[in-house]
Amino acid sequence: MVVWLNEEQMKIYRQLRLGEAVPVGEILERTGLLEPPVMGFCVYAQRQGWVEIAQEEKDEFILRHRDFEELPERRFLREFSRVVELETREVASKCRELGLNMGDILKWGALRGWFRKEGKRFEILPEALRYLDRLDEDERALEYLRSRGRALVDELVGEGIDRDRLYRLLARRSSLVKVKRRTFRTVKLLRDLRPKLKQERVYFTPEELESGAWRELLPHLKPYDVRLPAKEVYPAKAHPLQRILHQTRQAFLELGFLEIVSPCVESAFWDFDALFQPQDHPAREMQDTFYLEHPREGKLPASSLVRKVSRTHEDGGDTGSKGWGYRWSGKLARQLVLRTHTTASTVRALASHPRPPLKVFCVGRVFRNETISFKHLPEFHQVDGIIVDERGSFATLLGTLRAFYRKMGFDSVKFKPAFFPYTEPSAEVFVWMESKGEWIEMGGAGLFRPEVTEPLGCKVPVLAWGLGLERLAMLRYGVDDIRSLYWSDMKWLKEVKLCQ
Amino acid sequence: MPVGAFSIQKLNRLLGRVFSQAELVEALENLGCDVEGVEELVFHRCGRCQNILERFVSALPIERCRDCGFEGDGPLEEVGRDRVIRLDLLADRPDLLDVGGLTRALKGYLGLERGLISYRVFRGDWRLVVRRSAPSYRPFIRCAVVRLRVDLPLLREIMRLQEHLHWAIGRDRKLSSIGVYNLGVLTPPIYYTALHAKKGRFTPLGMPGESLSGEEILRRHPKGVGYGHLLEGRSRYPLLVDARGQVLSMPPVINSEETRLREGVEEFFVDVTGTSQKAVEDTLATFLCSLVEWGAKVWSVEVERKDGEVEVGPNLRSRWLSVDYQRAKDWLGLEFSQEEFVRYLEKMRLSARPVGGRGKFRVFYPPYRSDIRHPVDIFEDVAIAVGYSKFPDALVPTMTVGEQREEERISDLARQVMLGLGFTEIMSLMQTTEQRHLDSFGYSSLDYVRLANPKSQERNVVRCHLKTGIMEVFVKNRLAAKPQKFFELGNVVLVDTSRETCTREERRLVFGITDREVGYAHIRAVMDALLRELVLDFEEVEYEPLEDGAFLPNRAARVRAGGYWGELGEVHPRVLESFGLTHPVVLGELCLREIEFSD
Repeated sequence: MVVWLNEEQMKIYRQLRLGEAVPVGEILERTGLLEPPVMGFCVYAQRQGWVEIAQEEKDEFILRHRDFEELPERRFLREFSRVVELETREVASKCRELGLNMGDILKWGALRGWFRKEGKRFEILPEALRYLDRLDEDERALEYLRSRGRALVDELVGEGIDRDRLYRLLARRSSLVKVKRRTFRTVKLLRDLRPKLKQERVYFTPEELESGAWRELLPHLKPYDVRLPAKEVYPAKAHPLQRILHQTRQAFLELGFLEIVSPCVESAFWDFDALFQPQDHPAREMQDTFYLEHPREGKLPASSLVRKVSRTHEDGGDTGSKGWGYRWSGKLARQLVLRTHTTASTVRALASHPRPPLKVFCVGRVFRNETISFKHLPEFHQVDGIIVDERGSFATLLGTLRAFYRKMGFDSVKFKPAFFPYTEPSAEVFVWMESKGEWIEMGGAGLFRPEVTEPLGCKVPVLAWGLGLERLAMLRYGVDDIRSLYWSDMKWLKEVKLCQ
Repeated sequence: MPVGAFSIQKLNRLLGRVFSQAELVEALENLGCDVEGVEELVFHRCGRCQNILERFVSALPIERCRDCGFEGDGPLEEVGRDRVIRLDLLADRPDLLDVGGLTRALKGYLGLERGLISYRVFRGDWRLVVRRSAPSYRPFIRCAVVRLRVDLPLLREIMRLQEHLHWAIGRDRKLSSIGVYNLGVLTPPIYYTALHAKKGRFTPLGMPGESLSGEEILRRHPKGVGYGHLLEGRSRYPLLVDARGQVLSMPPVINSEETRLREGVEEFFVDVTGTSQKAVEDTLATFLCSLVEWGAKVWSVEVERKDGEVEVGPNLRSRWLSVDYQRAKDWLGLEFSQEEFVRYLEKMRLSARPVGGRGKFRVFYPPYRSDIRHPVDIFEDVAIAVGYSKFPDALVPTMTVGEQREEERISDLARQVMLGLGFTEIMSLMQTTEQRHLDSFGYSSLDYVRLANPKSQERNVVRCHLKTGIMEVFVKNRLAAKPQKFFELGNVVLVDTSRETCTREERRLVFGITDREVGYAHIRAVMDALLRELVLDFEEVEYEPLEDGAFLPNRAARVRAGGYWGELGEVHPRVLESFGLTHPVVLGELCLREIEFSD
């Protein structure tokens, strides 16, 4: 059996000695590797039965301040150097004089057996005199630490310091030292692996491939566990909403529609008047529509067209309608607005090409004066389309919309009667959203009223629709907050799936 | 859009048969109503003006009268509860704003009744005289006398229908407004005259015991505050008084306290004044026809005009249109017989009579259907009667060829290059602020589109370049790993007074990189890569130094090649600072094409 090791593991193995415990610290030092990979390999090797890891816990004493000079109880003892009895307050005043903490003197002096306090009496005991000219065990340890900063307890015991007294006096004196428990590991090689050892290869070099040396090296190629996870990488992607817009355009192109556009800044004439929306209609009010401060007014189209539209508003003109019955104003029609629907583009196309057949669509931004919230943005995208056709009808309108939504992945489409000022009949369009278990409203559709088409010179049915696209994107990508479509959070852009 | 609440119990009582909540909701939706939901309603009565106020059970109890401003100790007295269907009201269908109107439509749709209702107007002897002094800025008036016992629910219904008609036809009382008065306290004839704004006084509804001048009413009364703008700047206000000088109302603002409609009243006088004759007539007809559903009888009133001519109204006779049966079938794309055609219309409460064969019909419709102005409106009624779900799946048979816009074709190429270079696509809003769009970049000479009425100053200009959006995306992701590479494709709007809309648009591309170390060479390489793909002859590409507040001097260029032009460079630290960015950013912006608006 072959034992595969990579280059790093090979280095570690070379530091091991048969039957001899080698400290891990030594391996780190000699290989220059960090502890995690070294221990990782050793644990693996132990599981294979190649090595044995032993570990031992040892205390390490760490000196807190290297500028430490003398214990307070020793300083105090030096003042007297003999057996005496004192009043407690005399001790206190002496401490004040020497700048010592009386608590330290009482606590540590008593623990050492140097001093005793009973009531108001304080004694320096004969035991203390034995230490007048020699250091106590802990003081010797402190001396040792002063030059090194830290030392293992074994090291200190090796210096002849008494282990028990060291622990009793110094281990709990946290203002001077810190005692840390440390783990020391050694690794002992149990079997000589050399005969079976093989250094694995990750890649062949171009030279090996060219010379054919790869043939001999093939056995050195380590077999991989192909089920292990790999690093996560993501491709650069088109914006999710842009993908919906693209798919929408694609769907209408495939259905034989010509793509058109119209300006975002539009005159009220094309946005409202040409669609037979009376000039005092609530939708034209300031709270719904963005009006421009600069530039403020645009130009009207040919006066013959304007006259036909204005007459239709006033009394129906030649359309067989009764009109709205009010005085139409050219000034209001010249006002510039941010277009409130892309129907402005389809009605412009109709005015330019009033004779059938015509099938056009427009995907674009529209603007409504909404307060920004999770549900509303002041701008969003719509697709508008019209079919101008002798044989167009309400039935073919509904059929076209069903075909569009089938292309977008929705098989169930429902229509509900609705009332819009410029279409007759009018419908609201709903799609069935399986994941939500409900019908979702997508937009409106209908046949343009003759009051819209006839002034533009069109005498055949015009099938029209305007559908929102952000909602489609939100449903497809599981987004609850419309604002996040425009936030461009990198994590979302990276992770949102192309196949969604 | 206002929401109306319609009592299920009341609907069933007027329908004369009990339908379940679900049946009613479905039928209303199929008629075109927007059903919002079903909820419980609580009614309160104002301790002073006695008006009935309502709230949804989920809302807080009402403590202050919305009509007269009265506040009692704690909530106003609760006087009843009801289960209601909530509808988003339809401005385009003023006949579906109240229980009476909905009942009428439901009866036809559910098959309880069919065909046209004929409304009888009895010949009455009341007269209204329009005085010379009557304001010419509100010239139209029509009246009626109604006999109907008024109880609490009806009072509520009348007030609500009045409000809804004011919204739907009256355009908030401008085109038309309704007044209703207790006939018992009036002495004929009634005069339409004027009130001197300062000198004339009367007691407005909800303020018993107080006498206010016209001006004071506009200042102090809640309705005066709400509708005073319709009379602003006038020295005389419209006024209705009776033969004894008792004030009825000051249209379109407020009625008088003495003539108010109360529970127990059995006869009342109705007037509609306004600035549009059609709106005034439609409002009165719609109002009266709904009252008839409740059992009302209507008497005519003679109106003596300023020129002495007398008009007798209201006119509740049916109207008619000539409709072509074949055209109806073509318009809808449906096959049905002439008999079915007539039955569909009858289901929608219309009636039809063939005229001279050949599929010509005279279709009669009631006075409340003010939305009908053309035969296509009749076609829609047929479609609703058939049911939208019954329409066959069909497409127009004409063959046409699809074709995309040129700027979209180029954008797709550019997108392919940018994605290939590892740039992620972003989208930003076209509305932005002067501060971030112009000041931050030091652009002082650009002409740009400004909005007159933005909801927030955060979005008061329309973008004229694409750099702001991408900078904001760098800000948004400033804590994420670098390098970051983004691009955006979109339109910008530029002021150009020679155009029809005084603006033109360009399709542009912006791309940017941010990293610890990134400079001109990086963005230049990307611009080169892009232009190599977009331009056939790369030798044409010319770079020139650019001095511009947005970029560092000597680290920015203008580029021109085969109809494309743009700029690129290292973003000036001053700009980074104003966006709060601490890593270098390099940007390139390329104009792909001016948008050609076809004509």
